[in-house]
Amino acid sequence: MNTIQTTAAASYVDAVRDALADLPDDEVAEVVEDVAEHLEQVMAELGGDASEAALEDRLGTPEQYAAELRAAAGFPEGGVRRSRMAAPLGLMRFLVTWLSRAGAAVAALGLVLMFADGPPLTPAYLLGCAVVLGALGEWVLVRRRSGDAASVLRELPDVRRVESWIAALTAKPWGAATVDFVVSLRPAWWLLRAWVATQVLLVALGARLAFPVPRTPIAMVVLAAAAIGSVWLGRQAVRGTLFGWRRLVQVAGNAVLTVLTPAVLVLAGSSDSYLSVWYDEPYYEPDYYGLHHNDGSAILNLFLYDEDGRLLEGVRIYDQDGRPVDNVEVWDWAECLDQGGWYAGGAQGNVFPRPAIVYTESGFSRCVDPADASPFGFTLPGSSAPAGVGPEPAAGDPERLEFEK
Amino acid sequence: MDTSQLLKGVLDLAVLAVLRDSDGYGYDVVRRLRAAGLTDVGDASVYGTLRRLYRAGGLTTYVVPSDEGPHRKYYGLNAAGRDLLAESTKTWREFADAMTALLETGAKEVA
Repeated sequence: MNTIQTTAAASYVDAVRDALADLPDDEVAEVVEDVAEHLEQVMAELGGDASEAALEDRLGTPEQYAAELRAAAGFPEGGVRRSRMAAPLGLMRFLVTWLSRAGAAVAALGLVLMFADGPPLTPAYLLGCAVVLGALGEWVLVRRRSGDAASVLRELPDVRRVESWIAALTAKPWGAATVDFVVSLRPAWWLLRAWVATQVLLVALGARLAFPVPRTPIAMVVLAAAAIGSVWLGRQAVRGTLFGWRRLVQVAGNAVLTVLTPAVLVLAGSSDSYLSVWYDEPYYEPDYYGLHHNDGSAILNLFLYDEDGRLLEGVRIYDQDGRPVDNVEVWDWAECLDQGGWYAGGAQGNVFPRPAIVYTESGFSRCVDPADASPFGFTLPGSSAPAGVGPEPAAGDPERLEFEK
Repeated sequence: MDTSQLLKGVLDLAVLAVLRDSDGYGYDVVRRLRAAGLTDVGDASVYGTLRRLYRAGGLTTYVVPSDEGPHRKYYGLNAAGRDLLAESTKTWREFADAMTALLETGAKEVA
């Protein structure tokens, strides 16, 4: 069964369901199950290339079909559509209209500025492009479907304009194939939107955008759950067996995620713009910035000993170009502010060793002198220098052993 | 005379009748009715009638997995359905006999 068939049948079923939307949910569910089965059979009878028009020739319009079924089943006359969908659909309509116009305006402005000043890769520009792409993507996904959400979109003047462009496109020999190809990518979209939803959720919870795949176990579980849920929802939607709030979640979720997808993709590709978009102040993740060992553990302080094994203090360190080596991650510096040391003493922040925070067993932290922060104390163990005043290292501390290597 | 108007009154009985000997899924019922000569029967009317008879308690329903496509929902008569069929059959026979008699009397008078 190819995509066109499935889609024509699904959109017919969708429209029938919408025409019966005033009936109780479980009754509608039962009826739609029958109607979906019916449409499959009729599709099979009509052969491989049945369109929505062919279906309507055979069965009447979805509305006529629904009216006939309603009369035979003894359901009450179709009255006003259930108003439960009215408010969210109205909101969606408003957002789609104005967001897409604002997005188009920003994108156009950005294009002009690009010729003047080079690429304007500002967050606003990226979001503007994202909104335009998202709105187009959403429309392509719903264009073959009828029903509440799609008809609300179709009534928008902007969408009508786009629809006429797409009609011109599909009139070309390659146009229809292109649109069908895009529609056939639906399962990929199900996975993509699960990924985007996970990223958005993680960012909302204060975590970092993880590209391409979250690395923490909890995030992976969230991603897996999102993927399963999204595919389930997608299959239900294609079959036309989603109702009530689930359908609303699907339509609204798609609308939001299609807008967010390009944004997340762009931002995931560039951590700098991500930081400037989502946080007012730069936010540094300990595992990401500053000097690191090859095994990924962060270097938080540097202790230099002379050849006799004595700790050197107040040493300024520079690289081969004369740049101060100050990109050493600082975790918990607040209590060391008044200690001079790296912060006040070294304006360039390249004075080592730095004072450090130590935690006592009772959980309090305090700032200690560089010599006290050293894993070896004032003199290296086994060196020729006389024993220093610094604390001796605790035996068997894994971090210190590692440092010795 | 428009047979679709006539069908409206007797579709319940027709659907019950084609399910008397064996259960069937929705489209099966449509096909059986057409094969029996009720060519004007509307697909949606049959599905609607099945739903109504089901809600009235005359039909049972169960799902059968299908090799070639989606699952099929079968409908079958239960005891209440058989009672309904018997009762409706009786009503129909009386009605049909009365109509036939009426038409024959009318035909004689015309002649």
